Amino acid sequence: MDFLLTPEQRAFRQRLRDWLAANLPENWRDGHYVRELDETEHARYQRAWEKKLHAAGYAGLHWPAQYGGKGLSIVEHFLFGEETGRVAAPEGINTIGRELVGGVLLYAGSESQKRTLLPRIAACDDVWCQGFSEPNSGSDLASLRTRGVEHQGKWRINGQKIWTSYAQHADMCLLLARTSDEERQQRGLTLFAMPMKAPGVTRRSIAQLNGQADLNEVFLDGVELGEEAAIGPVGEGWSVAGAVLNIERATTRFYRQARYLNELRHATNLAIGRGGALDASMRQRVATSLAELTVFRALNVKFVSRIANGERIGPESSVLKQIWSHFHQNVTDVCAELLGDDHWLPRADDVEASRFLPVYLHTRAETIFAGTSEVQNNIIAERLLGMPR
Amino acid sequence: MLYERTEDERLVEATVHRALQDLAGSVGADRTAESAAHQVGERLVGLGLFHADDSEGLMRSMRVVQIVARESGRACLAFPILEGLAAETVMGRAPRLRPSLSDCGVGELTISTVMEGQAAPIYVAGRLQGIARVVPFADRARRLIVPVRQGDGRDSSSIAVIDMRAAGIHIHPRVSVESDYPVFDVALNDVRPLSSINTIEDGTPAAMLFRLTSSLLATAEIAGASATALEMTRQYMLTRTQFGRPLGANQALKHVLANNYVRLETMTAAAEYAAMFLEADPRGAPLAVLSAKHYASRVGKLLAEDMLQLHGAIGYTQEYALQRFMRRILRLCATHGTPSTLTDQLFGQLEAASELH
Repeated sequence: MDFLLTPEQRAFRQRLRDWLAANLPENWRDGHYVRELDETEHARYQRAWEKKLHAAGYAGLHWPAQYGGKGLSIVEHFLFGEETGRVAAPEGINTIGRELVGGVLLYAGSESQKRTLLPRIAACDDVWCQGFSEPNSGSDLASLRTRGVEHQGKWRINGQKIWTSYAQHADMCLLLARTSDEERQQRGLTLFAMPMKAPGVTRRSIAQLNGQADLNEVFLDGVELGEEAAIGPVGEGWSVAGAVLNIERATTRFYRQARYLNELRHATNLAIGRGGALDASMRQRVATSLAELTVFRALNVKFVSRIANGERIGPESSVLKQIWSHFHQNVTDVCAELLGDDHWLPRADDVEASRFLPVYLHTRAETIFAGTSEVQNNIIAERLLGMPR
Repeated sequence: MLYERTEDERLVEATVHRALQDLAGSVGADRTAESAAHQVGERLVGLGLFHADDSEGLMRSMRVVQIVARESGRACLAFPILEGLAAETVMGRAPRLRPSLSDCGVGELTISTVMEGQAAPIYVAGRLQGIARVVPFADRARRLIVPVRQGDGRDSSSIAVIDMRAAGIHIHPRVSVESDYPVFDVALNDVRPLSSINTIEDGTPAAMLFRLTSSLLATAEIAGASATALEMTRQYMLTRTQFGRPLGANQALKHVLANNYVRLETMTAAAEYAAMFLEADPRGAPLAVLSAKHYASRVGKLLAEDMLQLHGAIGYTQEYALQRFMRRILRLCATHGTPSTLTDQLFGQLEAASELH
């Protein structure tokens, strides 16, 4: 890909590659820990990794320097994603902060919010979670009922959120609440920056299919926020979130393609090492996945180019979400077939093969979170292809 | 960076689109008549699309050639644009081959075949022996470009230019899924080629470049034909009503359309990406090009089948235009590299894949 980059971008990539080779954390190999960690240790480990990246100058790459960023472009952000994905580096704990809240603040935040909150996100001093979905408002997010009432210059929040990732480790929450009743549900919603330790905030972890408990219910009982907590215009939270979500769908976690390729190569080499050369059918499955991952990269490069050229990304970002979520499921299916029993029933001391089952289980959620595949298809059909609602 | 379209590319796209759509309209139902093929050939030459000796021209750019191939798919003319483009694009980079075309008249066909997965003709002592398979329009072509093996080599390493009027050539028709796109096997019995080359001007193996170019252009043409098929279906779903509402109001149906839009966007991006690689770094291009063709061959067929399903019975008629695009897609998915024939090459790229970007 060298021909696609400027000399400065090539140099950036090489420096990062060298830094990763020298600085991947201890006890980390091939995309996972080499020993058991409990949840608290896991959170500490991931936060430490993000702080290490920040100290090395690899946080907030495409944010303006005055807000704690490096003032580089979306291309460096993309290269960072690819290089960390290539070596399956730890994913960190503040993805919501870095890749959603950062975009929201840059798009709609006040100057004070940008100067206060963004540097803390870049340094991983504040870990953020996302308070959007509710028990009765998932795909139909606009129907949410958590309410914010203004009283004497403060907001009083009551309601409940669900599926809140990492709420147990988060310092702040990007909260979407209803602040007025309008004819269209999408109007009258407001975004807030809510401290997770504010009085009235409680939470409960949700045990998940994959054995982890990263997701939470969050209960809001008379939580008081100052008026400066509102992000963007009051009542315009939906359009702010929507505009940012389109961009985030296209630019979040650029490490995916490279990381999935890392998984595919790892499983293939492991299978060959343990069982000898693959038969024709299995080679075809691997080749199909490789082709899919290569065309996924083509799509990434196209979106990065559009953004780098100043274009706005709209509902077409749903195409990317469909591609990465389904292609990852395909990769994990191939890995499962490659490894057989070692995938589904690994020996307790089989550190290498043990990587893959958690990944498979996580992929089953990837066509559900961030907008289900069915919601994405509705967006594509209605907003891009003009089908009736 | 990257995908920024140049003004030249926009101009080519708009001009070729208009020209080919006009031709598709004027040629009409009689798509295989000699006069129709001649019209198409003349118009394409007039646009500057077949100038092998145009060393500075737009057709030197793989990105531009890829756009032309896509537009050719969108128009779906019964004319071997892809095969002619592949031949011309490679020969444009091989000055030694250009004299072989100097007596080709306007509208006289130059065609090619890639011999995917089958034994290419053998080139021994200046003569060709063997069969060039799946050659389109061989019954009316003037020149044939084909990969050939040297001596007892297993893989084709050279390309040869053949005069279709030479002694020792016999053509045998094949039945094609695209019945108005005639395809033949060309038997070569002691045929002296006009010329042959092992490498092009920058040292890239000629046969490798030719195969990759053919695969790239086939991918682009599949994407073009798929775009027209999808647009046709989109319009149908908006206008056809049943049970008191348009077909497109049914979630089950619009989701099928949406899934195929995702496939179309992805294969279009894949062709553009592969073209950039093939232009800038031919020897580093196989992963991008073969992946694009592998993907397009798989999902192009699925898209064509889904578009037919969404149309219902009307889509199954000869009279309705969808079947032309479906046949074109199916033929191209089965040639110029398929998931079966590309497996070993792609599998071989796995280890290097993370380093190639």
